[in-house]
Amino acid sequence: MSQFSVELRGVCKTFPERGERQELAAVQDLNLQIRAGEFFTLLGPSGCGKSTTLRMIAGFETPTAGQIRIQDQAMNAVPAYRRPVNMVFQDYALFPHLTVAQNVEFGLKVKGVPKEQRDPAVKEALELVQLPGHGDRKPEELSGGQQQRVALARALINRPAVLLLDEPLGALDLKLRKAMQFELKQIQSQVGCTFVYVTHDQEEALKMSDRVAVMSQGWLLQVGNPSSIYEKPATRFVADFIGETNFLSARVLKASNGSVLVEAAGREMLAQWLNGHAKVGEDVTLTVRPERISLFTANGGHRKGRLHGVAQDVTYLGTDTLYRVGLESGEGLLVRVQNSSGVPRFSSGDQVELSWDPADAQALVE
Amino acid sequence: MQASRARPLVSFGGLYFGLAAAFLYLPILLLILFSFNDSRTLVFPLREFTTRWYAELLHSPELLRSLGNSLWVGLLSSLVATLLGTMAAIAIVRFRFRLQGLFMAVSTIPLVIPSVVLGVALLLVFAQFGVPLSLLAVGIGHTILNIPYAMLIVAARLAGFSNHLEEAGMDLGLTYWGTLLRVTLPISAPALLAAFLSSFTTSFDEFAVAFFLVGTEATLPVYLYSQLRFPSRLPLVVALTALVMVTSILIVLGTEWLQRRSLSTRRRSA
Repeated sequence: MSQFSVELRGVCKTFPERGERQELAAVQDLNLQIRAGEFFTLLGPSGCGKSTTLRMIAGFETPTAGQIRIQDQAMNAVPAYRRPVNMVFQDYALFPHLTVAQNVEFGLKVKGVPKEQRDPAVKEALELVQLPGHGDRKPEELSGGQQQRVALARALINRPAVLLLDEPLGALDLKLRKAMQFELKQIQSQVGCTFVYVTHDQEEALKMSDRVAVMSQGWLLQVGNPSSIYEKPATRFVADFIGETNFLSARVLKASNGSVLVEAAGREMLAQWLNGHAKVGEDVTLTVRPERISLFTANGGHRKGRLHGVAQDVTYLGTDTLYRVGLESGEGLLVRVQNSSGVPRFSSGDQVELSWDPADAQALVE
Repeated sequence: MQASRARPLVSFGGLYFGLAAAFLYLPILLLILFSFNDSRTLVFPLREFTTRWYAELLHSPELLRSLGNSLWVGLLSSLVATLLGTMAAIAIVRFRFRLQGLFMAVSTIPLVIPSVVLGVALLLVFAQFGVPLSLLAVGIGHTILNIPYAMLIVAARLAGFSNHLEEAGMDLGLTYWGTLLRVTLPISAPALLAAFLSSFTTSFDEFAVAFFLVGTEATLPVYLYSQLRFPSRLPLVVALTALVMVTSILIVLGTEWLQRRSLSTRRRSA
């Protein structure tokens, strides 16, 4: 018995292109282990294969190759209606011809659970999603957020081993989305089942997940907890997709196991290896997060370890100010500075000095 | 000064609408008028008001018989057409298969074949295979005529709701057939009814195909046409057509109402 709730082994999915000979590879050689009870997010831009992966777990799509296991059982030959999973759709997919209560009890009714047991279960499920007393309404009378709660109740009432959520908050406005993110986390800790969550919103993924899998063009790029995804991106794509970051082209001058001396922006600087090693003389990409860079007032002369530049764009963001700084080398860097009374403010055109801790600069091998 | 510009008493649009409405509805108004007129000749001035043509209808067994025939043919052929049309619609909207475009084209072609042509063609086929000219033959003809309409009406409804609803059904434990019965068909119910009613009205007043295929038992339109040879029976025909027309309008309004309702629930659930 493995501790994995869902396991994907070498899963591939290709779709025949309509009218064309070639096939479209949606998911390529995907290996994933999702632990019981965790909030696991599949993250990536649209078309990266995350929804296809979810639909294969649900049983709506059949893998072209590989195996899908749920609770240590091979699922490839098991139809959707016999899998111990339930799905929450982005467009809610509530049955318009049924009331809220009839929607929620649907799964139990199909299973033949008698009415005396269904009714309290429906009540409990609606309370869980904070919609008590809404049972007699029609789905169309509810707001988008309420409909999504009903969809959640309809899935959770079946006590699935795994709950699959396909961009469930995608259709909601920002404020409601944030409230629902919080609530989804709470509901998950209450019911304790595994959540597999699909989103293209990296902020949402970082905020909610125990672990995140980043996908692009059908390939799995990295799996890890939010901080390792953010701080130790495995590829340039991950670094770019998760949060904001800066890229500087650099050349290796001296390499050791832990750190590397590179030439970048016309200066020598230290950085950390991130995803492999390169030899002396080879090109790498240096990446530094905007909030890890410090800005100083330029006071003439070259201080060791600082870069020089000119503040170009200044964007006030409330808690932070975002600067775009043009370097002497011609490259530009984004710098995010938290606003507080002791921090100098710069305006467009000001001469500035920049520095960062070598531990925050990372060398990416392409 | 804008206010001083004289507006024409009747705008062009108003005139256009008035004329169009008169051309369309004046004859029907005349029909109803003459159906209550106590005279065997259909000329002005009108005589006294009477309902005796309607009363005579009830004592005209052949006519009632043809009415019954039309009702039966309409009912059964519409049921079959709705069933087959729904199956075709599900195939077209919910599945991807080889030669789908061809299938779609073949199933909608009857829309543009003149019914006279269809009538003659079916006459030839039935003669070849020894199918006797009968109400059954008419019913088959009407079914063929109505399948494309039924298919398009149901397909529009199916295309109007996400197949996530059907996936949700399967996700909640229903098999394919269970989903069809408990999700797809209930949600499509207004369209199914609309398809049935539209097929029924088409079949009920269809003349061209029926004319070629009826045997000894006439349908109502065919019977009415045969009655035109007897001028004395004309007021009866007028009364009956008035009745048929009112019924047809009611059915059409009902169909329209159902379609609107299904469209509006679709918009709200979108």
